[in-house]
Amino acid sequence: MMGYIMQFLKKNSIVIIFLAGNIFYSLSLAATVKNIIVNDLSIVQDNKDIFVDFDQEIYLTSKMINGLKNGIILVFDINFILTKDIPYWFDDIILVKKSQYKIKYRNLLEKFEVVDINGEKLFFKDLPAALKYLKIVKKWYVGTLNEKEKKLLASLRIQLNKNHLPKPLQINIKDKIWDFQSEEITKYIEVNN
Amino acid sequence: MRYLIPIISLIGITLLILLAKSLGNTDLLSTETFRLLFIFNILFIAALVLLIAIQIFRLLNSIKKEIVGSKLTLRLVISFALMVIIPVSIVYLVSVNFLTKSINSWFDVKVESALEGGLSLGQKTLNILMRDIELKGRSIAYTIGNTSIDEQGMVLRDMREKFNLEEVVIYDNQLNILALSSANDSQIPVIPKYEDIERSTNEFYGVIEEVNERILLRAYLPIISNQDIELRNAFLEIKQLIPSEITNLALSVESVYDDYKRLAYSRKSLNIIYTLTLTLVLMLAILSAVAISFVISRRFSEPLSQLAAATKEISKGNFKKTIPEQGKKDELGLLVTSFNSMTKQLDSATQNAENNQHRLELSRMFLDTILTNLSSGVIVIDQGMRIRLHNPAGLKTLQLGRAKVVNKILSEILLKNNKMYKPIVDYIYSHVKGKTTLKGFSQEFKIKTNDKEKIIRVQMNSIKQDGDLNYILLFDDITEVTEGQRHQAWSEVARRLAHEIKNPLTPIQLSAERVEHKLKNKLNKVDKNILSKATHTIINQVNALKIMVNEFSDYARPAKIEKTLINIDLLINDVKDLYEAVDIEINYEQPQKNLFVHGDENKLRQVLVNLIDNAKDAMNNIKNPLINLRIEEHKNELYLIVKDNGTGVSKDVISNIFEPYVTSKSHGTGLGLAIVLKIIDEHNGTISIKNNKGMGTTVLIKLPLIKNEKS
Repeated sequence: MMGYIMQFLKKNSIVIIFLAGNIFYSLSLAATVKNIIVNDLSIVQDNKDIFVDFDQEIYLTSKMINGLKNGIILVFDINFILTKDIPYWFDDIILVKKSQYKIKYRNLLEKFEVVDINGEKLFFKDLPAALKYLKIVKKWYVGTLNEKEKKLLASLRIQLNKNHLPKPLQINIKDKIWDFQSEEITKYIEVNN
Repeated sequence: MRYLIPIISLIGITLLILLAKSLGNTDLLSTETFRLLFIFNILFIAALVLLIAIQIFRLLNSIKKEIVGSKLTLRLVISFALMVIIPVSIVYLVSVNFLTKSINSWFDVKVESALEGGLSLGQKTLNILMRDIELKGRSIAYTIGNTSIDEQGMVLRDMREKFNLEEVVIYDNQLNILALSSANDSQIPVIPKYEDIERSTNEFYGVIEEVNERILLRAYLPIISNQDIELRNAFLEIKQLIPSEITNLALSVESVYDDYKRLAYSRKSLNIIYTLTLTLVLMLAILSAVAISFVISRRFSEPLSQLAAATKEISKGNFKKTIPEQGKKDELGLLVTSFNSMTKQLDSATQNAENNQHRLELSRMFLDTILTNLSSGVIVIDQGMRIRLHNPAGLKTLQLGRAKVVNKILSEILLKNNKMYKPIVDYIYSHVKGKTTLKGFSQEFKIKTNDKEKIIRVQMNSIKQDGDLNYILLFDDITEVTEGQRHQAWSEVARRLAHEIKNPLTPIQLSAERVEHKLKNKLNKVDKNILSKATHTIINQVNALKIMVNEFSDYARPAKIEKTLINIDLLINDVKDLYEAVDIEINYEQPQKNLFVHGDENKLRQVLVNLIDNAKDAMNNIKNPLINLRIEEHKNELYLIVKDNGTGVSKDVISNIFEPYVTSKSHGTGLGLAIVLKIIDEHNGTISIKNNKGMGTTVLIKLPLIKNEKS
């Protein structure tokens, strides 16, 4: 029996390593702390134009705030996907919209600079004010919809874009504080054609 | 392994380059890619460690199994590895130290203070400019508050121009524009934020912002008017762009300060990353070096191992072993070529030696065959009379049986076997003692063994071999030859005697009878008696001479026999019947079968009669004379045995009993047994005689048996 198992492992070692790697990666993703909480995801339809409303609570850690004070720019990626459910097959992606917002501390101005989801730059005297401003997202235009299907699945995820961090912080595997993201929020929506 | 390690090294170098690239602040490789690269590098190191561990295990296993070249490979691997590990480790330690110090040196206190000072200067400049705006704003607010509503627009423009402001706007509490003056008339004013207005209800409120990479000062302050009711809750908004020179300087100071702060913030991570990367480089370099050292060591030690293995094979006698030449023109290649040439020559020499050995073996076998089949005995002795070589005939001639005589002293063996060989031993010893070279020395010796006399001729020759003198002894049993020669001589004598004597005998006899006949009646009685006696004597003696001459004639006659199939049993019974009147008991044991021989019946009868007569003569004074006749079947031979209990034959006579004129009887010619021997020879048989243990003799005749059948 052991011999058979050993032979099987020998023959399928690459497949086993690949599967084990995948499982390990998925578990590590699942284990990441969710520091952005997205609420009240809703889709607003204006004719064929689709707008998204949502609330977000961003719980920056003291290290991140300290990082902000030390010139680090926090850029958050927002990824919105609208998919059509196909039974027994992969979902059909109907619409993808990506955007960013960022927070930066301006030492010269002694203010927090915020560029919101629509690209508008604003200055705030303190961080809570900046975060409060970012909390509510209203009428974020994500695209037009030509889909005849009525029922679609909307999913939204926000995560810190580490590519904008200084390289040493990006590649420091030991430092996990920059693994900052929300859960993937999904919601079935009814579309009026 | 030969190709695996270079491929792995190439992969390692590629990974390192990618890792180094990703360390730079470029968008070439993302963070995730770096992490993946980092993990790949670690996996790669693990693979290298595994590979090296396998190699070490295999090498140790080879050493344990004492495979040629493995120890040399281990030494080379250790040497090569140390050659790399020591300098690389030193470089690593120096690099880490240097890097850490260099990174720390970036964050000098003076630099930080200077940057903070620069930033502070910028901030203060902006604050001064804001203060200046405030003063200008208060002046405008006061002036507007004391100006009539008709003149407000003009005054506002004059004061904006006077103070060199970008834009001045008067809003009421409902954010309606009451008056506006702008340097850029085409630009529509942006409605201020409610919270900014709220803050400026009672006092000055200024905001410093960056718009399109220019620093903009925005100030709000209330207008206090005693003249115009509309202006009572109105406020003034002033916008002023900072000169681009100041803006650029301030922003660049801020940018550098930010960079510095970011670097300072990520200093720890930077240290970790560089140390980790350097460690990875070190590990990769060392492990790759060790892995490559295996290949190089094997490449170096392989020809030497092959040489050692081939030498081992050659020492075992395998001269066909060659080492594959790989066309290298270095010293090792030359060594391999020379070795192969040497083995070829060795192989050729060995082949020749083997061929020679084979030829020698064939010659020896040929000599052995000759010696084995040689009827003459050959014995080779050295100067100590030690037997070096002999053939079977040698042992047979000297009656040594099948004894192992090689390396034994010839004289000891011969004398131990029979003292009668002493003359031969003395003869050989006398020549060997002289240590002289001999050629064709020979002498004949009469040796008595077992009632028989043998004549042995010894011939000696000496040969020199490797400086030692050896002697070849040739022994020939020439008894039969001598006897044959003697018989032939006797036959010739007998034939001549018979011829010379027989002719005058008849005239003598006739003359004596005629003398008696003529004188018988002429003589007196006395003379007549004397004549009669004399003639009778002459006639008797002539008759006796005739008998003797006839016997001589028989002995000398040429072999002429008429062979028929003879039933021996009937023949013996016939002969036995002849002696019925004699007072001697002849006992004949009749066989179970009738045995037949091919021969001359008369001659064989003559043989039987002769033997019975001899036996009868030997039993003249014996009380109970008895002759036993017996025939036996032995394979293809018929044994005819005649046994008596007579006086027997003296030892002196018995060895020559079959020779003519040898007899133990007082009368007779001594030709009887010689004739018997001749007849038996003519019948391809043999005859032997021996004295019995008790009394009498036994004669054994062996004749070829033709057939047998039940009687």
